[in-house]
Amino acid sequence: MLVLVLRRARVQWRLLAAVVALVATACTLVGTCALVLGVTQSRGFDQEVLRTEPADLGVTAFLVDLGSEDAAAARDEAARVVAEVLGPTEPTQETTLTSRLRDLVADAARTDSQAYLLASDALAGRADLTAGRWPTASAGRTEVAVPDTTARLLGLGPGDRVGLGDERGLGGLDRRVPLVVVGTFRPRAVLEWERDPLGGAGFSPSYSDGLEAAPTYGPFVVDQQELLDSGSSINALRVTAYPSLELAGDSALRRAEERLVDAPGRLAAVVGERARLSRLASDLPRTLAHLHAQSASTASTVLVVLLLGVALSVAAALLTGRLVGSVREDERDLLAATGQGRRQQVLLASAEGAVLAVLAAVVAVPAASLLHSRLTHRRDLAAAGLAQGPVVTWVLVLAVCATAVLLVAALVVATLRLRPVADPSPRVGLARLGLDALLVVGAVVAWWQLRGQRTTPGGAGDVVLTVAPVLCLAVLTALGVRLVAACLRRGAALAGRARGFVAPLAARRAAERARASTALLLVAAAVAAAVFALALRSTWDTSQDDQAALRVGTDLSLTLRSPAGVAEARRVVDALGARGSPPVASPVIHRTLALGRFIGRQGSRPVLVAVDTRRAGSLLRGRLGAGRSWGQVGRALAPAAEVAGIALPHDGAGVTLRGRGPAGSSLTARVTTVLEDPTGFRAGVPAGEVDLDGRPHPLAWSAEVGPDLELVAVRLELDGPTGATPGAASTTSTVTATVSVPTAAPRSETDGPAEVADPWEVRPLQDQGPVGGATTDVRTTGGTTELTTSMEVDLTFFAYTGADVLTTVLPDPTAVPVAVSQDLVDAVDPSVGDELAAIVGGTSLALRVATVIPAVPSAPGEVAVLADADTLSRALVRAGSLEPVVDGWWVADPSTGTAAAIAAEELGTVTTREGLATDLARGPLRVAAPTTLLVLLALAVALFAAAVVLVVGADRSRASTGVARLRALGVSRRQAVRLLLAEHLTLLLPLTLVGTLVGAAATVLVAPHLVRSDVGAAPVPTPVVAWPWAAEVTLVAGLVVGVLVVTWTSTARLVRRSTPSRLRDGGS
Amino acid sequence: MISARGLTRTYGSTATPVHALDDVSLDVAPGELVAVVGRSGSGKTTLLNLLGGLDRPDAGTVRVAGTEVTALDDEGLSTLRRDTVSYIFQTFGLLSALTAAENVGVPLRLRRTPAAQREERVALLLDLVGLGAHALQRPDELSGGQQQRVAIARALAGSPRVLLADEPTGQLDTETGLGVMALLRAVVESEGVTAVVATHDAVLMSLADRVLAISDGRIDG
Repeated sequence: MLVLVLRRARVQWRLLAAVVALVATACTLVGTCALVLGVTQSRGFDQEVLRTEPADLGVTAFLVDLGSEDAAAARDEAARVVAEVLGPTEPTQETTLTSRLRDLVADAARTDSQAYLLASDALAGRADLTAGRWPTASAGRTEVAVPDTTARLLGLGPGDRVGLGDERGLGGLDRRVPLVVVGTFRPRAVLEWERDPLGGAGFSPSYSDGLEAAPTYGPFVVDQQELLDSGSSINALRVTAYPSLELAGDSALRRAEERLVDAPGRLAAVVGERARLSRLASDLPRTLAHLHAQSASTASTVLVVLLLGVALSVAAALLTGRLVGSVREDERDLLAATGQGRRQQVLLASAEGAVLAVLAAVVAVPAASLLHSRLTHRRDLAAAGLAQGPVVTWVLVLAVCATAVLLVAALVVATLRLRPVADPSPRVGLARLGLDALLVVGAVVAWWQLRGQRTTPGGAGDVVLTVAPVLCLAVLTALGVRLVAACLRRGAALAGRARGFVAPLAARRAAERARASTALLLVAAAVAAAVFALALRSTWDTSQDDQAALRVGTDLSLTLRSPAGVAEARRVVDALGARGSPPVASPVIHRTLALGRFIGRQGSRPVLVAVDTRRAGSLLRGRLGAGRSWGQVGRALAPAAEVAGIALPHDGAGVTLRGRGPAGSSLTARVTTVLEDPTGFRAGVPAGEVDLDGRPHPLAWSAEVGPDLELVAVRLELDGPTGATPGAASTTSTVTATVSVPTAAPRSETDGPAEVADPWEVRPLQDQGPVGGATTDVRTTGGTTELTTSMEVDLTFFAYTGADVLTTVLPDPTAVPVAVSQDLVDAVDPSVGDELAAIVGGTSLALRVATVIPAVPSAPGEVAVLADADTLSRALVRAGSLEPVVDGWWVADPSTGTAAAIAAEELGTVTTREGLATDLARGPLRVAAPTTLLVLLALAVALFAAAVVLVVGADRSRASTGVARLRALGVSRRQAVRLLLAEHLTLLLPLTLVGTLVGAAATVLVAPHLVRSDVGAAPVPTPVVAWPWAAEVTLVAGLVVGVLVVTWTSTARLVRRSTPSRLRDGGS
Repeated sequence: MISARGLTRTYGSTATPVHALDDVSLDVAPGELVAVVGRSGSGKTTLLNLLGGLDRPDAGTVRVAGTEVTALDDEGLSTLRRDTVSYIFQTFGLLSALTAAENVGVPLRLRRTPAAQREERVALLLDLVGLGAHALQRPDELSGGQQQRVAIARALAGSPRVLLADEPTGQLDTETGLGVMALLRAVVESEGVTAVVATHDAVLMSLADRVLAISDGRIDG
């Protein structure tokens, strides 16, 4: 028998080669997907880790309140614990120690101010020296470097001497630390400064670490050993270990995550009583979970591709099996007639199949390896760092072998089960109907499950996500093919009425062939898969763009580490203007808030986003819904008019405050100004404490005051002895304070002379206070603008509470109009026009719902409100909240290099919409999804071509005999060609059309649910189908042309070769 | 009606040529039923193919009903087979997708005969071959003899002047074959058709007006 098999193989080598090619193609797809899911995802993980901020994988030990004698030992123990957690990743470490607050000694005298020492071995990377050098250990006075702001406010420079006195608080050491300044520096706004007591600002007028608030300066940076030797108590010791990213593979990080669970206990045990508090913190678990979620999200898409590809391949194998069976039908009958049993047939076919499977696997393993390598060298993947040479893994070999066995088994079964197509018996028909119904129900259930997929991040192994699309596509294809068969039958009946010969016979024969469903299913399913793959890829890409747009909110966002002051604003404005004309930009307030009693859901608090809504049309990004624009939304929120304050001279030079209290009083006023820059940015700037003694005192700006600033509000916090007799009857006296501002040059050449057109008003900031009537007056005389505030003060009351008043040009917005997100509407259920009570950073505000939007830019899927930054700032300032509130800047249509220019300022994190979209769509852990869809497209087209060739060229011998007989009946060669063309096209073109429609329907039904965010959750905004019309039209047109070419070529050849010798062949 | 002169047809390569016909000449009068007999491979089918224009001779000429077949192009040959010459095959050659009636109607459709006339003619022919009741059955639902009867009806549908039959009873049992032969003889007479039948069936030979024996590509005698 083996001889027969070998001889037959020699004769039928073309057929067997086609079988091997088909199986090898399918195995190559599976092998490629296996490599994508394996080595590529693993490499993607490593690449993503390399892109991760070290801080996101770092482990930090915090120790609080250490005695100076314990600090060194505790530091070493903490360092050992964090190093153990990151184990084999060869972590690097940073240590930062901050001393307790000490009295600041100036001119050998204690002041009210306080300061602190800091030692860090990572400072050089987080600050730039502006003068001098970094401190080192020295034999004499302790060397220090101070921030520019501290140096400016204290008048210090390299070489100056200063001292820190006793430690503040209970149990503080009474020991002075003499210091000599050797350098000044400017902190960069990078991560660690947010843990500095002053956030790197260098000064706070009223910092408190739990004790009494006082003006605070620092950090006074010293050498670490000097700090430990100084005998200072350590307020905070922080040891952070960062893994070497090159060594931080998945398994290493998983082990670190496991060790992290016990690490806090170990830290507490080894530090013991030496620290009042010990804590271990790390973002590693969150980062790792994010990376795994990305990986799982991509894997599920690849699995869909894989399953679709395998399903198509099985259909192709079945079809090929039928063809092989048909070709060998006579031989099989002959062998059966000569006594070959069923078992022998199966054994023989299996043996042959095994050889074919081995051949296909031998071809597919290197083919998959090469294809995978080629894929990873595609631009997208190479850019993501995924390019790699050909690799062969055990997983690849196993996947290929398993697929080869599966397909060959299907082929063998189809070969042996060949039966003539006949009308099914009623019983079989009923069974088929039941199966159809079951499939439809299954598909509907799968779709329903898919539709109700989780909205929160999930893990891997989502069966619904993988199976549902394949089931839906299969059922739709099956229904479509049934429809085609029914239409062809009807068409054949109608064509029978025609007078001619070609149409009726072609229609009848096409209808007849439509009963062989495997071929039809394969043709339609291949087209559907190709259309689906293209549309899903486009939908996937578009959704990533939409997500990026809504997540960033604009084209470029700068998120500050801490709220911006005027200096940061100036740097941003300069950076924006550095590359030609500045783009549209807006300061942004982005923070959490409480809405009445609604404080949010677990892990998600309501968010307030405020931007310059007058520019919303060009600034904001994200899908709004049909017929709406961000410009419209912005107009509903924007204030009616801008305000004009008092223009300040450059550097705020010459600005004074002159005040007078009641006779005999010694009042002081702590002054805080609110300054506004040309972009509308406002920030409170403390301006020192001034005696109200009738003399002008220059304001001591706590921050650099740049050009083009306007004064829009002044807060006066009055205190001090009034001279009134305690317990005497209440008396009221007048207190006046005048801020004199030298007239500044206009903001720009286009501006007119400085004018003070808007009305100023004064309002007490205390709910119950000593201030009665208060008035304000603004006058410009002799080159000076004077803003005078007069108030009647109840002196007795004042003795207990002091006074706190605000003089401002900002009008009262009453309620801040806001656009609320749909999530907020779902959570709180407000209507347009309703007022919401909100608390923003401790300040109560009234918000008025102006409109509802699907999602607030930069706060997708969150309970959020969008407001105008100007209006919000007015409301906050008027409520006495003068702290800096601007958390970032948004820039629309940035010019080339803008992002780099802003990033160079190192003020915070720069995110571009384009960059994020690229990361989401083409990041190392994401890019495999769209790429494998291209592989599916290629496989679908290849299988379509194979199916068409099989359909058109099936059993050429029998077809050739048929043509010869038709020719004998008088059918001309041209008529024969037309007949065969009509027959094939009547079958294939409707199938192509149905496949296209099925692909489109599957896209509409399934594609939006398959798109996941980078954390595996349902994306926000909800994905919508994005049709790549040009690509789809090209694809379908290409397939149709392919059908025409294959059909024409095959038919013409068949007719040409139909010789009279065929006339004596059997069959019809 | 049929006149062939010096027909020669060789198959195969020049190294090992197979002379299927070697200088064969014959004449068949109108209405005559000629049986061509010979062993398998003697050249019967080649002769019929050349007479019907399905194949072209290497040498010699064929005239059918006054038309020189060997001078016709492909279109002319198709027209000849559609209007003048009909074939009956050993394996029936019915189109499995069509019913018996539709199979019979194929030549009429080729001539674009109006539907009413076509249906009338088909019904007449099916009655003629005794299959009026089987008009809507498909070939695979008919017996071998019935299929050959349908094939005969189809061959007569276009009112051909020449009928070429290549071993029409080759796949039938004796009794059925006899019936088919009788039918063939009857329709030749009733339709006035000239018939050339390749056969080695002795019964048919007895029904023929003339018997031509052929061996090794030559007509004996």
